[in-house]
Amino acid sequence: MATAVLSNRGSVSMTSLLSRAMSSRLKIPLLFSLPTLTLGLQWNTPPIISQIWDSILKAVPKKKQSHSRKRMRQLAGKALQDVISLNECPGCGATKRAHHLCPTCVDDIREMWKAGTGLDVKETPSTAPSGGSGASA
Amino acid sequence: MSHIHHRMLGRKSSHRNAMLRNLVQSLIEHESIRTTYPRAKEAQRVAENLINLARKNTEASRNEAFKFLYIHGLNDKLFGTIRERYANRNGGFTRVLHIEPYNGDAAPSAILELVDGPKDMRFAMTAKSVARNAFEGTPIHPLTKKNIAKVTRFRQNGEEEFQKVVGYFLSIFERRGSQTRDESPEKGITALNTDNSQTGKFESRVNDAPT
Repeated sequence: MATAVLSNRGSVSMTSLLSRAMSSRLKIPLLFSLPTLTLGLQWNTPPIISQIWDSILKAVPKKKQSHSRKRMRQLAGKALQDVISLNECPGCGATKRAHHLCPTCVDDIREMWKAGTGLDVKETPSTAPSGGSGASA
Repeated sequence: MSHIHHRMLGRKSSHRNAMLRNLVQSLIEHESIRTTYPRAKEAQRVAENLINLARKNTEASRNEAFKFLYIHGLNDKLFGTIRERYANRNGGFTRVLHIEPYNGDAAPSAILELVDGPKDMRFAMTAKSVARNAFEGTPIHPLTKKNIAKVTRFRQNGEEEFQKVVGYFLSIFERRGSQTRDESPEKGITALNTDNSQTGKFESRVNDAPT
């Protein structure tokens, strides 16, 4: 194959030159022709052959990696941290974030403000539902 | 930018100043505002300075304060009730409290409020926790005791007002407690009854109940 490629490229003169040099140096008999010639060519012309060789054979992925696999690989070890800084809300007893106000209590207090700051509203919320419960009981 | 000691808030100077003026104006108007935490902290500085101008109450400070608020009608409030409220306080007129993010972008949020005002969240929160302790018969937490002292110290009629808010929340706890106590023994029936009451058959249910 290597010889074929070389002949295609039109470097016949170079092959003849090489073969002559080799034969003179190593004293190869004429019978021993083709396989050694290719070997000899590989030894003596490394740059051209290696370039071609690299372009022909290389380890490459067979399939495109799916989006899912890519994201799984890139997000490995980057999962969300658990929130462990938690408290019990003193106003309602629910679990809340430390140093943060409990959202239900904030809503309760806002309702109180809407109803009138909770100062004179003490009577109305207690009477209305107690009347309802009294009727049912 | 280590030499600049305030947040840029992602705006150029004019935009930032306008935003802070708006925030502080809303704070003076409504006593309590809800924004992101960085904005609340920046507006807090500006608000403290403005209230200090009101406390000075000289010709120069009044001119300086009048330049600040967009709504000039609020100057009466600033130099009236707010100045009187903080006459004996040397700073710490405002408070920033973390709350759960309320916006869709989950930005860290906060409440900026005027201390000892009608919408003092810590005052109300402390009262609620005291009310819960009273309702459940549990001792008051030492931190809550500290908060009670803080919250009632400078407020006018602080103790009385505190007890009123405690009473309000106690009534709410009692109401909720009685509701759960009523519903707990007959769960299936109450579920049916609530359906009836929603569809407007409340009267018939009341009549049927004793029989």
